[in-house]
Amino acid sequence: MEKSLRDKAAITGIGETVYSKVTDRSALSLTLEACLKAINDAGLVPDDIDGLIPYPSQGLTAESLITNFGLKNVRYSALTPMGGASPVAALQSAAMAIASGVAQNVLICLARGHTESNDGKITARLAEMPQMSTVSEFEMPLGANAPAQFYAPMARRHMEIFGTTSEQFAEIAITCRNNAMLNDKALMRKPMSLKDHQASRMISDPLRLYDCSLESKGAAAVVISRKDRANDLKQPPISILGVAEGHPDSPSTITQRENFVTLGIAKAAPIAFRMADVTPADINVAQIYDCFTYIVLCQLEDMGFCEKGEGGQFVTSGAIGLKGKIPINTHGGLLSEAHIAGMNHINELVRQLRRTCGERQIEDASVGLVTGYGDLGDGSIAILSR
Amino acid sequence: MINPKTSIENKAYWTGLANGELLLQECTNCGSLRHYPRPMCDSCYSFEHRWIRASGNASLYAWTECHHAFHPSFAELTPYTLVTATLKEGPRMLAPLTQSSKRALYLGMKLKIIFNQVSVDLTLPAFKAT
Repeated sequence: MEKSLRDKAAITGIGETVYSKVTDRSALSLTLEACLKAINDAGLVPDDIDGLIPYPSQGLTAESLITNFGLKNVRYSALTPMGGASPVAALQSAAMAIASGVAQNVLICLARGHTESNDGKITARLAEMPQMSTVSEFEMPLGANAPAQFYAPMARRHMEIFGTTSEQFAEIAITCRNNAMLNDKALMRKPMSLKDHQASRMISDPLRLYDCSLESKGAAAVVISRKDRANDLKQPPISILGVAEGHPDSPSTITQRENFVTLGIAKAAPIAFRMADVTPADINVAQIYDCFTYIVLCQLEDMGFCEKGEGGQFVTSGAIGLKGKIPINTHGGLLSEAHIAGMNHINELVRQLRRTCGERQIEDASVGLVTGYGDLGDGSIAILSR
Repeated sequence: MINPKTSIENKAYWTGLANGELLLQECTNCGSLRHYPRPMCDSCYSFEHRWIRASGNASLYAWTECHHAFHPSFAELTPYTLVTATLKEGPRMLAPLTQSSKRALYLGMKLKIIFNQVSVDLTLPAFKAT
């Protein structure tokens, strides 16, 4: 059971569009481009794809992928509606489909494209999501209308209990920015100082503007294939050693959650580490879902990179920089590369393990980790190796 | 203003607020209290419940001061504070803190519910510091 998905599937192809602040292209158009690049990168052709896990947003469906690619052989499709935890949770679903023999090559994709009606109207967008219905019924009318406002009380509670500070959150934002400065694709490449962070305007206390991720457009995709056939493909296969998703207690509202300072990943991480048969000390590089700085800090604790409550000291110790013991978000993350809901984190981890990251390459990167976080605390984690 | 979506599950709660009462669901099988309103008891899986009137006394569990309005209804209210309050009866709820209660906040601070009638049809809860 514990090793059930270990080394059964590998990421064989990755693809991304240009990332931008605005776009005149539809989510579907962007998706198709990223998918085509991922399929080509793997050395496959579209008809080799027999499994599809699209990110359920902006009307993207398996059907639209089948129609546009003219796919004839799809025998598996699924959705993993967990907000930003979806892409990494989709890795688990893809690995399950492959390990069971249902599918051979699964395509996972995500896009944020042009929108006519909802752009910037985040409250309306969230209210349409079924998993947000409790918040929509009971909290939005009172003024909690966006993720920054949902999550800020967790950050505040962490600060009050453990003495965590805004300056410690800043370290995460600055680390991502420093990495983005080495990434041509990143949207935010001007240096950020602690002073800049502290001077950025307050959004929902304690979260300042520079604690918040970007709003971006673009698409990314990956192809997952049978590990035992992946060696015949174009790229060195990046194996899925361990993967899991975790749902927090009280997933419908944070308000009711008994423990405010852990997230769903606290349940998933031990499963993934056991499956991979590694410990946090074995991880060479980690792409950690960074919708907000605090969420990174909490995940580091929840995964066991440090004790609960010590995340603030951990991130300011130099541990998370490119030269640190656990470099994070080497592409700049959602905070400084682009907000592609974490699909860009999977792409970057694959590049690190292929050792094609140039200036920001972590030397000898062999085992890496990627996380997802979404909705009101859903978590996902995958441990990959070259 | 964002009007809450009322449903057969939550109608009693909103009606209670309009009457100046904070109502919570109590499982008539095992006695567990639950909030926000939902159909089933997560302790014993009973669908049977009654509505009890909560005292309105609470303590501060967490908070955020909102400086940026993500919905136009709240633009003129910024900065406003949302508190996560632990009710004396046990469950938690989120509500704004009254402007007159603005002061240094701390965990465990005593709070008391108030009822703000914002329109003919809608009364919303808030907390004041006591």
